[in-house]
Amino acid sequence: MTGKVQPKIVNSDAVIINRYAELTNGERKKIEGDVRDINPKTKVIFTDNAKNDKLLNLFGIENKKETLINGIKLNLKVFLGFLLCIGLVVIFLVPSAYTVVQSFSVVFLGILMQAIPFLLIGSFLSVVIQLYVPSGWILSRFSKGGFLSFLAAAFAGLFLPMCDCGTVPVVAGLLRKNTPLPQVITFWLASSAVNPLVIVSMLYAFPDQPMLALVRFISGVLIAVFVGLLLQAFKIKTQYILKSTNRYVKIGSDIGEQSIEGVKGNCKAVLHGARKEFFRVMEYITIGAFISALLQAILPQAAQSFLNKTIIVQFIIMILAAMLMSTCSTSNAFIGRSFSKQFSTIPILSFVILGPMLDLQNLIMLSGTLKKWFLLLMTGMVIITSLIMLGILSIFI
Amino acid sequence: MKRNKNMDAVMQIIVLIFISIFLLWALCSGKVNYYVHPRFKIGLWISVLILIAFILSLVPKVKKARHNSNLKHYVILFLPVFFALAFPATGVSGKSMDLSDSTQNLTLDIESNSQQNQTELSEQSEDMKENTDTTDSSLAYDQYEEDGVIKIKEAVFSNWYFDVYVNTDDFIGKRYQYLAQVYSVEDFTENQFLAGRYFMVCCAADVAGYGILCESDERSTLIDDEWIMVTGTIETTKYHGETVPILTDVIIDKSEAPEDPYIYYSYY
Repeated sequence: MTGKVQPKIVNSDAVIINRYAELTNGERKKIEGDVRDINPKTKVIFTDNAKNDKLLNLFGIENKKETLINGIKLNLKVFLGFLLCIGLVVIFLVPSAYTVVQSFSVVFLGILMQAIPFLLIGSFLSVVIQLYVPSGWILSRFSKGGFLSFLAAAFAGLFLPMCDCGTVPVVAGLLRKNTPLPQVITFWLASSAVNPLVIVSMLYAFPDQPMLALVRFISGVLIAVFVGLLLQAFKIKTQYILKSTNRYVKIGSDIGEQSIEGVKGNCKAVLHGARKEFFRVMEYITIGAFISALLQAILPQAAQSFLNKTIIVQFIIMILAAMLMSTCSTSNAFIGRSFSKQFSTIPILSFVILGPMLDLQNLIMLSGTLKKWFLLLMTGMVIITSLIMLGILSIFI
Repeated sequence: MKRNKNMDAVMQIIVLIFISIFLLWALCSGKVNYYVHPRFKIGLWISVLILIAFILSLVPKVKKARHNSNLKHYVILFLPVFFALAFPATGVSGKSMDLSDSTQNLTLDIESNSQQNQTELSEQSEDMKENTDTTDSSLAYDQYEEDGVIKIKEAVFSNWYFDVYVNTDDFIGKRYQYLAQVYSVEDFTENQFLAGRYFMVCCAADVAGYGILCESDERSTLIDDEWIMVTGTIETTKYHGETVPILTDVIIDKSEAPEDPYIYYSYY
């Protein structure tokens, strides 16, 4: 039902539902939620009476209570704006504050700039998958093979020569194509942790320990496959964890208005879809980059006080650093190496391998598509799996 | 009803124009090197073209009015625009610098990062590759000698730096000159400081500083992050129980900041 009325809801001020008496509370909530997902500005009104207060409100006849609330909201906004102005004045007048914000700004924009090319590649790839690869084809690839399908997903991820942020739109595209969730997650984890460039960077960062490149490669694949298998065992279906917005704002239906015929039509459709996808991720990556730049400004000093602790503490610090520092999979080998004075090999390996998998910025980007509880679950699974794996590994190294 | 333009399209066009202008400005002025590694330049040029294509594809949509659009999403996208305008890029400050860990055997193959001296540099790096196989790794840098001082340029700095740490013995007694930034370390003595450079691997988020320990009576006149041309002879000393290289007989000349504040790693 929603698929068909979706374009109409997007363009409406309100959805009025009459004869609602038979609906249970849960059903009403669901309708409200669905409409909010399609367009948060559209109101839902349950009424059989067209002269209902809320309805009148819509057409400009205001009700006193709401005017009051709006007034408070406005005052709050003015107050926040005022605080912001004072903050800015301080930043511009105090030189040391200015330099701090300036270096924050360089990191913030740096993360965004290096991500933009990859985001664009990812967006186009995602749209091409959604438009031209038939769902049946992907489904049949993944649903047949059982264990083998996970290996296939992992290897597809491995050989995708892209940075992790570029993979997020591809993951979103695959999920909207109803690709089975466990395999998509395997694909995501594998592609974010390991790609051809990563192996090269590991060899350069640890030239005296080429084993580490191999260890990173193998444990990346194993963690990815194992978490995928766990998800399979839990029988979590794609539709439960996909944010409902994404159920309706399918690229297919957006493009539906356009003819996908001829070269020109095809190009237009791809361009249109890629733009939509780009804006969708851009919002999240901006928030992600902002938070990680902020943490980068604060963390290094804080981390100093945790030096020379036991291996478990080191492990936890490294995982936290991995999540919060959001360095690219290709560059984090060098960052990891710079920790080698204070930390032992296993915690550094966990930093290097888990960094891109659990990167806060990537998780924020994924939260545009996936529900938060699922991302938490996935993070937990990855951490536990890697703890076990690296624990076994530490016997040998 | 309220508006007869597609505000979604209008906002997207504005955001895209801002991003493209910023990227173009950064690319043309060379400021892009403050934010990301030069290898991203091609990618960013292509990105600008795609963003312009996005803008062009949006123009016809402006007139197709869409009612009740949700513009809150776009507010966040103006954040980078604000920071780009309000806080123009400068070099690093307040980042930490480190001595390399001598237990790690590091050899890095730096390749050219500026196009102008690409040919010159590729010859240099070939020379260096040949020489790394020989026993004395300091020989590779002897070709840059002028008046008894071996001048280490930015293009070979990272190679040289890590060679010094790995094969310190080969370099003992030789006199080197390089452009560096000053960094103080808490447990150094009064006349000691680090003279080093900040390295970028991917983007400004992963900048890390590496320096060589220096001893000089002029220490007190130096402030952190200041640019100096440092000349000194390599010897070894003990620091936290490990043998590390140190520059002695140090001559310090204050210097201008270079165009690109970073040393760019290239490993593939």
